[in-house]
Amino acid sequence: MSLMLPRHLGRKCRRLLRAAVVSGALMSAIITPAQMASAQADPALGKRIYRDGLLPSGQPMRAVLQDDIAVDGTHLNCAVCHRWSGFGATEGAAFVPPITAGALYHPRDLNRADLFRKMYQEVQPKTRWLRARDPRVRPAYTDETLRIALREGKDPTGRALDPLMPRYQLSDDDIGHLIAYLKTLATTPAPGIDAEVIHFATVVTDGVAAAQREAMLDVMHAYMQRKNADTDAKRKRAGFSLYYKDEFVGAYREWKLHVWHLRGPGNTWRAQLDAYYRAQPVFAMLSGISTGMWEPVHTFCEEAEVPCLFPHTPLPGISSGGAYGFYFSKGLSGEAQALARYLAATQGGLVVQVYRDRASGRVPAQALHQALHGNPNILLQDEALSRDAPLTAGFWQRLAQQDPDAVWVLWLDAADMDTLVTAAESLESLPQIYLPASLIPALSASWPPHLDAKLFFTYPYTLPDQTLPRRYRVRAWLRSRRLALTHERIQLNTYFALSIADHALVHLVEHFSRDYFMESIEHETENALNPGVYPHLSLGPGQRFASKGSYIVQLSAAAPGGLQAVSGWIVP
Amino acid sequence: MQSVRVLGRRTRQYDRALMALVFIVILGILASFTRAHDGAQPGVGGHQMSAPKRYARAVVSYETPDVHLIDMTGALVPLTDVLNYQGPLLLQFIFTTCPTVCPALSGLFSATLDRLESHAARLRLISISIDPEHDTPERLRAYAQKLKAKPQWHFFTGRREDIAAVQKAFDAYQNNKMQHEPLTYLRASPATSWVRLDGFMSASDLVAEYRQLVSR
Repeated sequence: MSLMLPRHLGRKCRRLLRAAVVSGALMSAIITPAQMASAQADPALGKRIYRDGLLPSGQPMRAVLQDDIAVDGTHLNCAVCHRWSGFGATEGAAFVPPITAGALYHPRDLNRADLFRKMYQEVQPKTRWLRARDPRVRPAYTDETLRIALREGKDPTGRALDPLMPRYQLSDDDIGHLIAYLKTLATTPAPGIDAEVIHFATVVTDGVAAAQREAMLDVMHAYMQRKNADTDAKRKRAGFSLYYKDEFVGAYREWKLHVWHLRGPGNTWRAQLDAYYRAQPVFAMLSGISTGMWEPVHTFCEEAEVPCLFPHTPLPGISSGGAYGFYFSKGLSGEAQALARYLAATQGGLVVQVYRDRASGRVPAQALHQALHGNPNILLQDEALSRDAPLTAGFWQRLAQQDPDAVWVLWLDAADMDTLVTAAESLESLPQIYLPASLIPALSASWPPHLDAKLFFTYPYTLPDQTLPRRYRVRAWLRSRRLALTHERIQLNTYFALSIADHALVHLVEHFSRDYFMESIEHETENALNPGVYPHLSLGPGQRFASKGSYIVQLSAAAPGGLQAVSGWIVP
Repeated sequence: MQSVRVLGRRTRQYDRALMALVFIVILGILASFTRAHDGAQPGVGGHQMSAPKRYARAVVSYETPDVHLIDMTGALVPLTDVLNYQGPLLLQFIFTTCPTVCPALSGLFSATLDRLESHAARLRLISISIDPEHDTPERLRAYAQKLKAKPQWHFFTGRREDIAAVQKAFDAYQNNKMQHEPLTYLRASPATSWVRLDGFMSASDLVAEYRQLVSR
């Protein structure tokens, strides 16, 4: 048994103390089996206690914190603070220690690399600052001392745990289940990483223009090349004087990118993803690009428990929910929700939405229906077109005659805009037309400027005249890597996906757990990494869409960037 | 560090002396625990061993910024109206997905309200979300429901810049909400200053603070 004791105690004195602790541990080892044998400990039941605060009976567990505040398990349970990973977190004044099997069943290890983050990389109030510098050693927990810790809030030395740690009212059986689960936490190494290399994948689907695909991949390759050169240098010099004290050598890995091309129809993607993953498991998926649906990739990420960070997609996996997919925004659904807010505030009467029978039409159309559901002032009608039916100017004339007072919402493609432009001049009364941001480039090039007042676009991005400082830094980085700024949004967003992964990994040090990685991303997204495509990026536990709103804009030659906002930032 | 080096050269005699000293200290501590326990019998108050406060207390004046909040129904309300409530007011900054700090803060409000309810009909509790874009009125309602929040407890969200202004006015702003601090504010009436409590505390601590506030 290794036990850390203050060095300034004499050797004999330390031996005596150690003997006392060991005999204590032996005593509890003798008592334990008799007490714990009462039920079959089931880690699955323990997991429910840990994550949901529900006892095997289905009732919430109960606890007391700060001496006299009664809480129930649905409001406060292990996972709320220690998180799914068990690695805990720091949050302002609160420091939550790790409770993984490795942490609990070993004496507290004052690892300098782990302490580094707490000491130097976090904003802290004075109390936390002091606490980080006054780390408490303790021997390893046993099942018995853990039981005491959970119920009475005492660590194996008998010291009281922080009053923030609830004192749980759990039966011996419940504790048996919970301990069985705690013993599984962070015990299996995460896939896609070994002592040398961390593997990442990115997805490119059929139908993505080559220029867009290359814009994304070039940033990824350049970032990784730079990252690996940096890691290489750090590793090489770690053996030499001046650098020999590098505490982080164990955390360095070479980054390796695997490009997964998905071909053919969406319903075959899952099998392709599984095959790629079998051939080379990856720790996480970074960025990725698709013009249409993303749902099959999302489902793969959830089921394989692969964190998938910030792909470029107008249709993120929303319907199925989930833990492992992180997105910049809700895409077209988010635009539809913001539009619903705007319409509800500015319009009444008939709204006709035109869309094609494909995901990029159906999804926002349905989102608009849901968002306007129950609105007494707006009647929303659908004009659904088949997948590939050609549009004519006649279609628009008929639509305008049908209901001259209606406003239009068009979830269509750039190719459909030609006929609209042709019809626009000939229509007697052109209605107000609402469109997604993706149609701005097509229409700003061809729309007759005297009709600008008729068009409204959802715009979930930073307005042209707002600039975030980090945008300049990332653009300078791209220039320094000799990457021309051809697709700014794709390039900046790809850079963000890589830099947030990089940032989160630094915080893990050597604890390569995927859950911990995601928790770290939740914490770090709000820090100053936003390269400015969106006005504000922020996540929190369980949040998966970093930017949450949209503007409504109109074309205007006089406005900066040709766009004039007609609404504030709408958060549906 | 000086003492470490000196002690490192201790001889066996010194070791024995040190052990004896340790035993005496332990005995002393045990004895004092026993006494403290005796003193802490129910109904016996005012003993000498009261625990030090875990939180910091300050009396402060804040200027109310001219912004609006959004209440749980989605309606815009001026912050001045919210803070002009004539009765005693307790205020916290929280967000619904917050891992460690907010369950403790909200738990504190919940327990305090339970204890004070019958004595303080006019008491009002306010929790303002510092994650306004995520915490929509709908999510606030769900959060309140999960906490079984009583009707005196009101939850607010708002526009991002307005919420930042409120936090700044209350000297509570962090540019990453994940670093937010456990703060609880109290005031007896709109005419009085705020009492700012910084740190975690028990419900009896907050009840005592409240009683002290309204008895003045």
